[in-house]
Amino acid sequence: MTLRQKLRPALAYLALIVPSALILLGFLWLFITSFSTRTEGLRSLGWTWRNWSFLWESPFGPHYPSIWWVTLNTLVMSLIMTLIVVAVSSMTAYALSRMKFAGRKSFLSLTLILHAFPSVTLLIPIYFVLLWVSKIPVIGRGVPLLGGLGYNTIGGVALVMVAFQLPFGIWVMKGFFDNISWDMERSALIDGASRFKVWWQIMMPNIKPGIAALSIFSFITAWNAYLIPLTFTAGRAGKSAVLSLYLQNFISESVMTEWNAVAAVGLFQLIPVVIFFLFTQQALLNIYGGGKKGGV
Amino acid sequence: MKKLRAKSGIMVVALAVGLLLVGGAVSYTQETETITVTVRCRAKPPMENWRGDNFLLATEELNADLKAAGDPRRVEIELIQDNMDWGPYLSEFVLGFGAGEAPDIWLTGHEYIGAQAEAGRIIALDEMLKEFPTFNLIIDGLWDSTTYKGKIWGIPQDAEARPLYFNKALLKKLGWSDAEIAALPGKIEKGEFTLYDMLETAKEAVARGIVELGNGFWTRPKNGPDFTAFYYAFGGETIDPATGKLVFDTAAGLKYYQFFYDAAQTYGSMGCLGLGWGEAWHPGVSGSKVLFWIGGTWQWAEWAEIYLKDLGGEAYMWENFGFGLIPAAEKGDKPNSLTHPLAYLISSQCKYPDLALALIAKVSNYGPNTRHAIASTHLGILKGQTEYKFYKVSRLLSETLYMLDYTTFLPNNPYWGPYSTITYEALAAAVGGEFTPEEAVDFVVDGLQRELGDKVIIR
Repeated sequence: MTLRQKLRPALAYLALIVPSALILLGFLWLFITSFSTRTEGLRSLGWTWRNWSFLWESPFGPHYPSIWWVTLNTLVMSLIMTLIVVAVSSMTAYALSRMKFAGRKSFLSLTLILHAFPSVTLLIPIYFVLLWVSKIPVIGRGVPLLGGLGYNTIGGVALVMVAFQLPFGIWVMKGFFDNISWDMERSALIDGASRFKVWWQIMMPNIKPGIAALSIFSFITAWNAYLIPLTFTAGRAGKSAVLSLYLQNFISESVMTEWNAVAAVGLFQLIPVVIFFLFTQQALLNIYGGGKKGGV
Repeated sequence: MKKLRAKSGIMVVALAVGLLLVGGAVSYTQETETITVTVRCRAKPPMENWRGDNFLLATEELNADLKAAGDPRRVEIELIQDNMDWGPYLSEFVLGFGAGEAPDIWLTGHEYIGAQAEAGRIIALDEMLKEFPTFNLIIDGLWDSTTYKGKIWGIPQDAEARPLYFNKALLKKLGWSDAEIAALPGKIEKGEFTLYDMLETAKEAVARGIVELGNGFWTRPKNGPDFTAFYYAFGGETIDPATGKLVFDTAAGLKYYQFFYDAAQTYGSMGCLGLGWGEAWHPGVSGSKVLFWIGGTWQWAEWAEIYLKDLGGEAYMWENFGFGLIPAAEKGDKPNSLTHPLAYLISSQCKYPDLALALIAKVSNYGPNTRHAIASTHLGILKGQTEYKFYKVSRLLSETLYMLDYTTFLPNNPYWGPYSTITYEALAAAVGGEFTPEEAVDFVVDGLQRELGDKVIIR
């Protein structure tokens, strides 16, 4: 092996290690800070558990909702959104990828236009939609755990997030369906399978990386959502509070922010995302490896 | 047989007790009706938590009153309290109202009263106030802050003074004696030490290298109520009592902008605009880098707890910091201060405003109000509060309560937001040297006429 051949992988590793190290340093700082009274760069000036006390007592007073309630709210909202986005996107994308019908192209263009809208411009129209939903019996207000699908409910916020995420989801999933060979599908249809059966039993198992990718993106989007929950729920400390709003309560314009506590809550907020990623990373990495082109 | 009898006996007794309990519970629920009162407060935790937490204690007391009066209603509180920024906090109330879910009691800055009253989102309280003598205890002048178009729309919750703080150690370096420093607040109160006297002192401190250029005198770093106090000091008015319209006085405005222009361009001051609160402003004033500055009484505790704890906290501050009113513009004139009371308002969607007001009356008494005042270093709102045993504990609150006699307010007008923004933009430009004082006034007149039309009177 010549020196040039040896150098090539070394340079590739170097190019990967340097930016990765910078990101890792950021996480390392976050970790050290969350267990420190104060820090100087990456050096702790004193170790403490106090920054993590939000796990067993509310740092804002006994009448603030516990972090566990807030986490449950966030989890419910994220899972609901992820499930709906994956289910609806995959069905819609299948139809758009495999069926010919009038208005197909216009529909695709429309979803793209919808995705281009900044969410802030749609807040007021969405508010009126949520008000309307609130008035529907049971669905508006009476759904257990979600509160309902109207204004100031976890379900309502999830519904709005779904609407914003669907265009992206449809396009991602369509790309995966487009890459699957027609042959398998045609065989199944000749064997008498219905369209739904083909979608569920033939196509869906072949686009697992796509499902994983969309799940992760949707979950992370919902988990970190700020503007939509802030606008459509009452208060960072209300019954519908979510983690991003809870974290914001540590940060004030006029009082010095306790960054150590912020780091601890931020790290806590990161944990479920990391777990979710660990479970789905294998499927996710397949995308970057080229997916299952041409069918398997 | 005996065992069987004993068992039967126990069964009969248990059944009787069970029936009594169930019957009692049923009759209780039939006789009483539990009403949930929603309270929405903004508070910096944990210092300001009593704003909302006081209601939780007041509930028990009110329920006892209701029971004694034979009123079948009982109250429980749903409290939502956080540290949200004012913009989203206001939007939340407006959106919640649109959804028919406005909180029954809403704590907010008094300057929002005009807009909310005009929109019909809050109710006037004049008639109901008479039924709760506790409200007679509130300092008379504070009611001006919650009065709009001749009616009272809210109950003042707290108040504060915005003193002129000075650094004693830096004054000593300038050659001031302890006696001179101690006499300064009195001289300000008598109108013997004016705003330009302050700038002269600041200029001298800069010239002698005691403070850096720009650090002779600081205001808050961003737009806010403090600036209006200076406009008042130069004789400015913000509201026309006859029409309720906003007013901009060009003669007073010119003096006001001249003062800030001079402060920055001639007297080595005002190097504060645009600084971050936590990163630069608080460390600057508490770190003895600034000679004079305008701050709030509520910041005293923040400096002691957050910035100066290592140096001895409050003890260090009493040693090194002093405070007085905002000096008069001319010798012999009256100094001033500005308070920005928060107020409890009752939503027009509240089904039981009498209960909401009864709760507010409970939390407006000496005990609850003092708890909040002490914990958050806000001023009390009640007459004779300086004599209250637990209020006296705070030296700062006792020594600054007199400032309410000199206090001014922001106007309760729905268009105060754009007025405040335009006047501040001109001030920032004058401080930055981009506008002369005359240009600043022209900018304000143009801007106000363009934005507010006949809703503002230019004099």
